[in-house]
Amino acid sequence: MTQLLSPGGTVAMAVRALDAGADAVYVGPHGWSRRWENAEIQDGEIREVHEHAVAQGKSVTLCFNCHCASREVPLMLEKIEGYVGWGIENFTLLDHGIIALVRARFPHVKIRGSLATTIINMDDVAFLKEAGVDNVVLRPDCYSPEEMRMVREQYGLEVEVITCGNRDFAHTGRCVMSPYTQKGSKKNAEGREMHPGSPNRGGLCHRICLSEWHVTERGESVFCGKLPNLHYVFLENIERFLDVPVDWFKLQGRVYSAGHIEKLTRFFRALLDASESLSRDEFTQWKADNKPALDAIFDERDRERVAQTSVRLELEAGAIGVP
Amino acid sequence: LFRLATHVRTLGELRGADYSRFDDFYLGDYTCMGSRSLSVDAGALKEAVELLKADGKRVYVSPVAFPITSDLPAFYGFLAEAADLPIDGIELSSVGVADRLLRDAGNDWDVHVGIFANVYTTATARVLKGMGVSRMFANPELTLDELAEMQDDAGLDVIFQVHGKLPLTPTVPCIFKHTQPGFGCAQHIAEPGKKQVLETSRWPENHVLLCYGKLMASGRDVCMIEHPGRLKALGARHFYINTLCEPPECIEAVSAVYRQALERVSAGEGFDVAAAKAELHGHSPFGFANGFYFGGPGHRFVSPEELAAGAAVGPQGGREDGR
Repeated sequence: MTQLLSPGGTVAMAVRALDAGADAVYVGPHGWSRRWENAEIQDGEIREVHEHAVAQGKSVTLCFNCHCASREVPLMLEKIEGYVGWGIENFTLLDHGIIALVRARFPHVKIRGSLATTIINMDDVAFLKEAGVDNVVLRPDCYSPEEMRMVREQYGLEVEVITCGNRDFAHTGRCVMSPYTQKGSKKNAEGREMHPGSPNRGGLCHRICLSEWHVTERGESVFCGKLPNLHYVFLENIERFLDVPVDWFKLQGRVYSAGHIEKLTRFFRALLDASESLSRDEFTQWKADNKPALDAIFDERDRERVAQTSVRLELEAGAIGVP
Repeated sequence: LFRLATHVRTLGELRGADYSRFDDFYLGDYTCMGSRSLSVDAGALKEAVELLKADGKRVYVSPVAFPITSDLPAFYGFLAEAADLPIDGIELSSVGVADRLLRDAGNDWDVHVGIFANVYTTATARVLKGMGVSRMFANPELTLDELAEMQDDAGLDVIFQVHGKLPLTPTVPCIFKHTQPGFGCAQHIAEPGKKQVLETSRWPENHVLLCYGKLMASGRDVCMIEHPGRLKALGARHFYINTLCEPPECIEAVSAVYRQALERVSAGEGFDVAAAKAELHGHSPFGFANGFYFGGPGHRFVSPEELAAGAAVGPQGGREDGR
């Protein structure tokens, strides 16, 4: 049965998502994940969320899904060791070298390969399996449902699909347009070097793609507007993932409000339950009946996205002195 | 003492400019399988290899960086066709594909890792070295010191880009199709040098990006002509100039300037830096950049004087060098 993985950008968001039916939540330890610091949580809060999840028979995944400097790898391993000591056993990792180090040092933990590992073919899956991951995020534009099934059966890996999120115009984790234009440097309390402006290194993405661009070719104007960057949700053909079956539906959105994530989680909990309990025809009708509710949630998401982007850019601009 | 490399996408480009100052050639278009490049057209590749081998050059095939699973049959089919050519190696950004090739007992090609493999840490460089990778491009936002540390600690040759547009983002959709509805691959094949200029007024600083279809790059040219001594001191031996879609006179002039500068510095001699810089400026309509190498935003430009004054690192380090 497909399980639901929801974001926990704050303690409140994580708790509300778990209470709304998420099977697990993913959270970012402060300074170590691919989100700005207000969507990451401190160690004491991580423990609080972990205990709340365990009490419900659920779990927490810690996202170390940005790149650290080579000299910071020992610090990362030390932090992971501390979390393992609390009983946390799920980690989302990005860097191939660090995946290998964590697998060697903590053989029993579950390692999820971050979306930003950008695996795009079966050879990449085989490589990550060899490196030691247990779970891979597969992009439906790179892997067909048949290939997802093969990943489960041939490689014994859990398959995760991002059911709603942003469809970046770039290969996730490979874009350095933001730090090309804005990049800072500061250290957090534990000595980790933060790079505002560089999402690959844990800073805020300045969404360069969403600037208003004037495009010319040989001096002639050909386009004015933004580069493609749309959010999406799988509903209409979601059966193709349920039939694999994929192991996890992941909802993106650590930067949104706790209330929004609760609604989204509640919707997909109901969807997964309906897919289990109803006939295929009844499930199709369920989707049609509930589509307006999902549309309303997404209207709210769009409004939050615009507002959040604006606020975040202002905040980080202040942090690094950008006009 | 050192080797100077570049990419050449098509036979037409190779025949249309003087590439004699380069030692190593990456042949093909790593951004797209739709183009009729040297990494798609085996006949053209054969001719290109013959031309370059007659001049004593080393040649590496550079296939598309992101082959999805359904691309793999054509991808490996092309490599099988190329296997009989006197090619020295291959550049790959899919680590899974690199791993598969290196495990293939019949493979005698060197394997280099491309810029979009996203290597950020020494830990990953060590994994690549262990696989048998012999040379690599690291992620472009790393500093010179990080690159040197990676080279020393992992024992893997790192390629340092010394000039040319900085690859910033491999895009999933073809941006030409976004900015020019109705544009198709056939038109791109007919016009392989097509590029678009993107400008925005979002910042007071002049941010210009270039689009090559499925690749976004900096408008400014990385320029390290003032820093060859520092590169030498760091142990850099493999240098790269990005010549993608540059006019022949630019390719000839820029490669000549760097060839001479690197030879002189390698021999412990000086060269006329001001004259070299002035020559390069004439081929850089949007100015110079090298900020990533010194810890700042990629678009900034840092001179040795600013470096010596300790003002180079950070978001406001260096200066604008746009035109």
